[in-house]
Amino acid sequence: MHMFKVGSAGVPFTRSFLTRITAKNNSLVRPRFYSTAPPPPVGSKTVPSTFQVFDREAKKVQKNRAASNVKLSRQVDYVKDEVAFRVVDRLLDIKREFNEVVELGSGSGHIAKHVDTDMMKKLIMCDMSEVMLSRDEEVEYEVPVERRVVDEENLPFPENSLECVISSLSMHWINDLPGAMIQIQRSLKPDGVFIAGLFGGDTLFELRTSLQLAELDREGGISPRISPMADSRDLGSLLSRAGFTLTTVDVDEVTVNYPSAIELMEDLRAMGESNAVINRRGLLKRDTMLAAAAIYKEMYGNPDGTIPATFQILYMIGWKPSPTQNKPLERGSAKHSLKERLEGNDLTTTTKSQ
Amino acid sequence: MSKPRRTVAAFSASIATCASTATAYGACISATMNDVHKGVCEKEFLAFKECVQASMKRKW
Repeated sequence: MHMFKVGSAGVPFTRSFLTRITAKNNSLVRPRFYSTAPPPPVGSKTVPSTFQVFDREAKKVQKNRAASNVKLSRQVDYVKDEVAFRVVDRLLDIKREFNEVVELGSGSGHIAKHVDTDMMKKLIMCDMSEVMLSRDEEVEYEVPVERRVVDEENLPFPENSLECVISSLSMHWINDLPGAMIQIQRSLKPDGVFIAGLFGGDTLFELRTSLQLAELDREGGISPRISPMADSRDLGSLLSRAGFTLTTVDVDEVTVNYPSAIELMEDLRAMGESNAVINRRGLLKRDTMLAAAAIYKEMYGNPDGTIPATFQILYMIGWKPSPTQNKPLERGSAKHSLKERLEGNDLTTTTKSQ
Repeated sequence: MSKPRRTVAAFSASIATCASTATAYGACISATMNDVHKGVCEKEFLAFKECVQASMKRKW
């Protein structure tokens, strides 16, 4: 799937140069090939270049900038609050009282608003943006919180140290999603649980199409305006690949109506969710913006003149394997025929034998 | 920080004022969905843009 080049930037090796390198560093000449690259070693700052889709530095700047306008930033909490509530709802299904729960990409504390002391004794909020993390520092939550500046791509937690990792609307900015999930799995204790909600591929499809059509008509080409996002079909295999068991994935949609595409883009910026794709164009021309707003309204607009924006949310739950967990029964050990049960022929006998 | 927000509001209001030209432009684009290229709806766009500029009392 991914191509690895020996000579980076296409510089051809001359023979003498090659021998010099061979003597120094054998791994440069004989690269290791993976179907996909391995996760970076714990604590290292490097992400394999094939996974570099997002500009994390730019994302940090955007989040800091967004959160520094406290009033506006609080005004646009609605999507993150709603999804955090739904993620907490999934945590609520787990009848277990956690001592500490780590939240990755907490923003200014959307999960913290919804959890209570029956679920956990303490919440550790982690985010890459210090300004966003401390925006609501003076707010009292039911559960005590600790705030930590953490890069979600390089987790600082030791192996087998956490009971529960939770994440809401943050993992869509992670470059190396498989690697990040492997790191999470490693840092969990056996029988620890990971619950996350992240944006799926159908998110903002209306805006994506409108901007593409507008750019085609006005400028004669398209550029990446909306991030590529995960697909629900991929998440199951990602979870299993990272070594989680008893995995669950489900999909949900939140639709928000806006007066026009202009307000939608403005709110996204205020959330700190502006475009951070690495090869993005920094500028959206006013003409293109006008055109996109008109196309959006014409193609997707509601009868009342507003426009809908779809946020597709993918939820996933995975457990770190442990010998204490329930295992599936052995093959062939069933006592009843599922076929008969489903056809309803065997109803009386099954109820009797129960 | 409130100034850019006001500009955005004015921009959006002007687009709403020019609903008829905006609809004409949008309809032109959806009609040519499969073959959109540069300037395919130039005439409709210019009418829309002029209307927005007149409404905002600004030119660009």
